[in-house]
Amino acid sequence: MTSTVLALKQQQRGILFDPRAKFLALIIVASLLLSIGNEGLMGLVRIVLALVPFVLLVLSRNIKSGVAYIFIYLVAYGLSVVSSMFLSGPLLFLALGATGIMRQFLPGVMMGYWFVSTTTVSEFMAACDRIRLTQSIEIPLVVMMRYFPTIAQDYSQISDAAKMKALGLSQGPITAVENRLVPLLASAVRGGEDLSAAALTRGLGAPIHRTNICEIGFHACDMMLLSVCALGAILVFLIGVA
Amino acid sequence: MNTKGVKQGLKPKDLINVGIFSAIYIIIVMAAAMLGYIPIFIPLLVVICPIVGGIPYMLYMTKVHCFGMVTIMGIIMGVLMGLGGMGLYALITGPLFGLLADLVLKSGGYHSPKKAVLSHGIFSMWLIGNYIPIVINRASYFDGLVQGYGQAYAETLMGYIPDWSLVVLLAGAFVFGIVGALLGKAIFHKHFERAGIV
Amino acid sequence: MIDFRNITYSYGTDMSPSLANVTLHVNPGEVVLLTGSSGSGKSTLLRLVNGLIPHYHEGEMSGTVTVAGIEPRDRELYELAKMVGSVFQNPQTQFFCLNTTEELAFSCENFGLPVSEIAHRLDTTVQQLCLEELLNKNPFLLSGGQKQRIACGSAQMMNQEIFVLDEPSSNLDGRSVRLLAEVIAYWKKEGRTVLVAEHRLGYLKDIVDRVVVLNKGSLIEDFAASDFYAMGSSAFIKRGLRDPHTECCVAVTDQIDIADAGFVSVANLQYSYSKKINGLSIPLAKFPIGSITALVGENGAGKSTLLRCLCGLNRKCYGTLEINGELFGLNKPTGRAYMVMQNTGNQLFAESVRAEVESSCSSAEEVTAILDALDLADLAARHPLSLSGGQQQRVAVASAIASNRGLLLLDEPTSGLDYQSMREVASSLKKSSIMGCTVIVVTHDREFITSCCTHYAVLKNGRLSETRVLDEDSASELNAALDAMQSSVTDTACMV
Repeated sequence: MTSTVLALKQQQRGILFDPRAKFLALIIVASLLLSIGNEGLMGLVRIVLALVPFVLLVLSRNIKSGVAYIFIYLVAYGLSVVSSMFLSGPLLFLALGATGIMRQFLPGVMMGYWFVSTTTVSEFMAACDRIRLTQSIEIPLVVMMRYFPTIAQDYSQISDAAKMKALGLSQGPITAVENRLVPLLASAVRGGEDLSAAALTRGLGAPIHRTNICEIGFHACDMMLLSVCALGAILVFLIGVA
Repeated sequence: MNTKGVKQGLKPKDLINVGIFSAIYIIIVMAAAMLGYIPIFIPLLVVICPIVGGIPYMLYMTKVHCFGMVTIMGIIMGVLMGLGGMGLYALITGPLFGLLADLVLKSGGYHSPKKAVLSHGIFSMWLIGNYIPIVINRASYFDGLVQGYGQAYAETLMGYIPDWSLVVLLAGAFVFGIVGALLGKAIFHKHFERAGIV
Repeated sequence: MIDFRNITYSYGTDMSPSLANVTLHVNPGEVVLLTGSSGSGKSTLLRLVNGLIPHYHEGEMSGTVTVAGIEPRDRELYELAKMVGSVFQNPQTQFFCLNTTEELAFSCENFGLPVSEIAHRLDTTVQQLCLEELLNKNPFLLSGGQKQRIACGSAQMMNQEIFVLDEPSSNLDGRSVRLLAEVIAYWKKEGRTVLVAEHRLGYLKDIVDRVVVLNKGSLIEDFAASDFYAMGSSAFIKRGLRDPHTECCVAVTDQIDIADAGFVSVANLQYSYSKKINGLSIPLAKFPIGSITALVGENGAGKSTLLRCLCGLNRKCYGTLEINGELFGLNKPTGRAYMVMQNTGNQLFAESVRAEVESSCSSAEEVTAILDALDLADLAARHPLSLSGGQQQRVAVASAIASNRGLLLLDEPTSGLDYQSMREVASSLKKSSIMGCTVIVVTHDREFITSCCTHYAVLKNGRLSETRVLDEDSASELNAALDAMQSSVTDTACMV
């Protein structure tokens, strides 16, 4: 049976990787970033690793985020170089600390963003199914993926309201946090109830083996992605031994 | 085809709640952890994260009625930390302290407010997983710091985190977890209960 | 098809029952409208059909419900999902997937249908409900009507015989409501049984077979649709229902007089979205001080954006706001405009209504006066988030008055409100106008416009028309403009 609808679905998303390949790549990049230093060859490897999420974001046609990310990364990198030349004492600590954390974690965070933003619910559930992940982990994870954008939306409305009411930090940090957190949580709980009701009336969690309309599977692009990651890991290992 | 059943006790509704509250919890805790942006504040995160985490956690408690929900939340925290580049130790501490917290809740029949407060203290100790790499790989971590930031900076930072500090940090996470839970309870009574969100 | 026999139900925490001894029989193929003010038990009745009661909501129940020959309480929720399709009020929170095509397929996937079968059903549903344009989109980026249409499509993928819709039009504007009505009409044509709970009655006039009126949990009347819609306006108002007659035309009946006290004016407002062509461009707009201006315009015309700009929440917005002779730039918070947002719950921060109003005004007497004027005195100690939608709107209006900002902006305040609440919001706007606020309200609710607006302006393609006084002549023009917006058929062509 051919379906016009499903054929349509494959367009417009750039290169599609298998969610499992994406997941592996994410783990490899994150752990390499954690385990290598900043100096010499390793410093170079680090920069190459930092380029990975940029390339991946561009490949999935999310060029805006990719460029924004690489820009921030390079600025942080530049600042750390410049500040070590001109600053000293506690100021240098602060500058190095801030830019260092940025260089340490930003690539990993962007890998995570790439994963979440390019993986649809159906793909994710199909992948969980293939790796035989129990529904007890799968459903919470997929709900989280679904829920992050909602929280972001609520938060932006709440902070608009705070701006509009001209409530800054003037009332003290605790009130400021309370002002934002309480409506956010209230809205999350209410929205969560609606989401539960909607999902349950459409059979989520039925004790039936799920099917998935998306085709997942390893293709050439996944092999490429994983080989690049593996190569990187081996290189790092060899340099480490040497 | 194999049939993937949901474990007895945990219904799809509960799993959805786990997802929603994990999302809220991680966002709030990570927002607080932005303070760790300045490395000297890193040890302070065992104070600030459990305190703010207590607010969504105590609200979560109104949804937790059966065994496993806190454990799964712990597993998810571990997975997220592992993926976020915080090291793989949280993959152990997350499920471990989640499980312990769950057991505490179970002993109170999931209705005891005191046990709920205690369970957050225990649950908060999962954070320690993020500090273990610093201590275990002290030498290589130190080298990395020296290379990246210079000798003086590395010494100062490492001076803040001696080996034995792991125990202090663990205790700190517990104590401030309790504080956070009490704060969460206060906010719960002040707002959520009166707003009818239970 | 559906049989309620002597149903009494109360939710876990409530003392008073949500349904009291309700008996109702719905025949196969019937389309039944359930109406009544908020809290009358409409939604509860629907939840008994789709199984959310007793499987999701906890409570006490007596009596029996039979749906297509079975009792929902004896079956698991997922089994009922195969028989009953559900559409909910808030299109934002009822999507599980962040892609419309997947959303449509979601229930079939959960039931493990073979992919070829799902593909077949997708094609059928897309064709039946004209969803082609909406496929493969992020549902967050669709209009309310488009979202509800996808939700309907998603609800029918299991070929259910029964559909329940819980206030599906609450968040929709006039045109979107038509999109929704078409789907329900289609289900009727196909012989499905449909239960719709609604406040808004007009759009269902030619579709429903029966109308059931509930009040405080009791079924009070059961009409044939023709009898129901033949009633006069006073009969609706007497029952606390929205009047389907005024729902379709603006009249000039209730307006307050405003003194001639100058204008709040907006000059040289320019705002462009990142790449889209139609941003906002408003050389000059004047709103008489103390007026209540209805701001109407099609979906996507930029109404909500304009309100945000007037608050100074869009940094890239250029232009000035002149109020009481003072000039404010619009690129930063003006501090002179107070906006009541669509999700009012997200702007109420304090722990009680009184504290919320006090946070924008320090004088205790003034706060008391404002609370009295807006009939909020009884609610002063309540937590704002425990209030109903209409009450929250009024609390926000009270805060706005207390903040003494001069300009009060509201974004679709009456969506999802019953008659009584809508009237209360309208009267609170009149009070605010008397107390010196100039009000601009984005709305498409003609009954609401009739009950309080003194002026109107039309926003089209980013341009704002002149602000006109609402009188007999201009009312008919406004009606014509609203009709035109409703019937523009760009995305409905294939269903009619």
